[in-house]
Amino acid sequence: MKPVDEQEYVDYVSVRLPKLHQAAYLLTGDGHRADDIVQATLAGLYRYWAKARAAGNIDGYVHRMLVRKFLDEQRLAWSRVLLGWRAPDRAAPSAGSVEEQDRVQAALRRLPRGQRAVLVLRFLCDQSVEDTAVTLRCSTGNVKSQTARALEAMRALLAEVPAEVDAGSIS
Amino acid sequence: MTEEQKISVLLKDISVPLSRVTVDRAVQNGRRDERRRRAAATGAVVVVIAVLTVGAKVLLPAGQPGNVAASASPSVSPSPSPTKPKPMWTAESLPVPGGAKYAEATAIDPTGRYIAGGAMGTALLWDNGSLKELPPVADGFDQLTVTGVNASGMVIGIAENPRPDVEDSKGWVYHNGVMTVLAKPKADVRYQVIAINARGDILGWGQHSGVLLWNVADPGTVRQVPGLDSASGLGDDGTIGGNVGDGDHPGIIDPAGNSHRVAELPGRPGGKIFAINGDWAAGWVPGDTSSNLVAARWNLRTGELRSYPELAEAVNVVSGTGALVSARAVFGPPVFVAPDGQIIDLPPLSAAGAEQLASHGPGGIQLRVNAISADARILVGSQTRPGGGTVPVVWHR
Repeated sequence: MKPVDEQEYVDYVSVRLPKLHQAAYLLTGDGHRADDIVQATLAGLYRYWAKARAAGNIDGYVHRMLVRKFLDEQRLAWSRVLLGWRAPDRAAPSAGSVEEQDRVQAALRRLPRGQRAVLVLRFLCDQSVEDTAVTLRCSTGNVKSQTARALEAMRALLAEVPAEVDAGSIS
Repeated sequence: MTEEQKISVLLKDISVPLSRVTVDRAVQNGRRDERRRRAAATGAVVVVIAVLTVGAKVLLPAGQPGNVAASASPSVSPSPSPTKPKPMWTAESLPVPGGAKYAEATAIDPTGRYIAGGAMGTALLWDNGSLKELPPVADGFDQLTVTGVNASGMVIGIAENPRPDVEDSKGWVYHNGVMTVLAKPKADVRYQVIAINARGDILGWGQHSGVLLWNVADPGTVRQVPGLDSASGLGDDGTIGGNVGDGDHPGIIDPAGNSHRVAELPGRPGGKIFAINGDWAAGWVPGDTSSNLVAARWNLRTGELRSYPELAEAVNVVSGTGALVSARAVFGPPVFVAPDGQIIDLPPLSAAGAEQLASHGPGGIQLRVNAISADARILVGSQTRPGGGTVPVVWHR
């Protein structure tokens, strides 16, 4: 990579890294695994930086890489680990209460991986239905139905999941 | 505030643990990966094997355009329309240690005698259905994941230390009561141990190391295998299946260590091989739009690529007969696909569960298939419990 391109890459990653890590953490439910897929995504982005810039929507391109790392690597060991019985990694406090965050995380873990990915892409990464469909390699109708199911499931799970850490499996 | 806005606020409000990924580290890793790729490209021997003798593997030479038109003879055939499915599988649960709410079967040996899996961090081995818990790997590394087992009962996997402040993993192999830690690749703190074959080769992968190989006879030695950027398929003869780039091209490394691309769809290059069994490799190739994918199977002996437009999930599981597991829809329930293309639904553990399966949501049941026996008569995986938790499942036909 040329120095000028590398500086652009650094500028972009510097701004976007926290959001990428947050998305990865919500997808995987584990800090180490989030680091793994963020690292793999950034390595791919470094390699394909020119292509990503040419794509116009760099955020969409990077989110696509990140989520596909998550979905494509389901065959690998870490994706087979069942996390439901493990406590979430404790983080620095944020605006919401710890209990409420645990409830949301626990509910998120109970979702099938497709619904989890849809929620993260649409409501954390603020992707459109169309961009989410491209990222997940499915139709916009599929995204809409997955979104509706995921929201319905979250509503039900948030009502039932206690504020303790029993979540469900990362599948 | 709408429900969608509320969910958005809730998700954005979740705080995350401190990441070890930094911008400087990303740049250093990117530069290192670039150097590694250049070194591999410079040192690679381009092996020209267009068509071997009848019965030999028909492949494309590494570095050549990977589409079918450029090859000497590999053929591509779309999957024929499936015949009417008929129920033929039965599901049963496997015994688990007392109190294990989350358990799963993740591997089966080709003969079907050994099934391996895990329950809440403990590695499990079922020998003809009899359950055994495997010992821990090392102090602190008590979260074990099982990824493979061969016909000799050698089990492999990864052990992790669950502490957030410890970034480390250990590959391991278990055989006859002895747990052995595999040598760690120099370039990666965390890495994957993915598959084991009949002769004890163990396939792995690291972000910076690339494709890795160990052998149970020499677990203290790990070597990097050039030719593919990622790999997860391992045949009993040592053939490795994976991809070039991030799915830019599917490819294999033959037992002699030479890399080759395999057939790709005309005008739609790309794909990944995820599994190898005998003459068969399987994974995905691009679909008919710019963004979707379809299931794919390659016959490594004839070079034929068969794509399955009606199957929207990549194939992680292929048998020695060419049968595979995929799904009709993205994120849909898994289906068994016979060698002739017939698609057969897999049943849940109980008849009452069949209706819940259709919803495939948290209120219903989710099935997952992780491995298949060589003769395609046994599948292993898991089924979720509606109230949380998973049960290890074996399907027979």
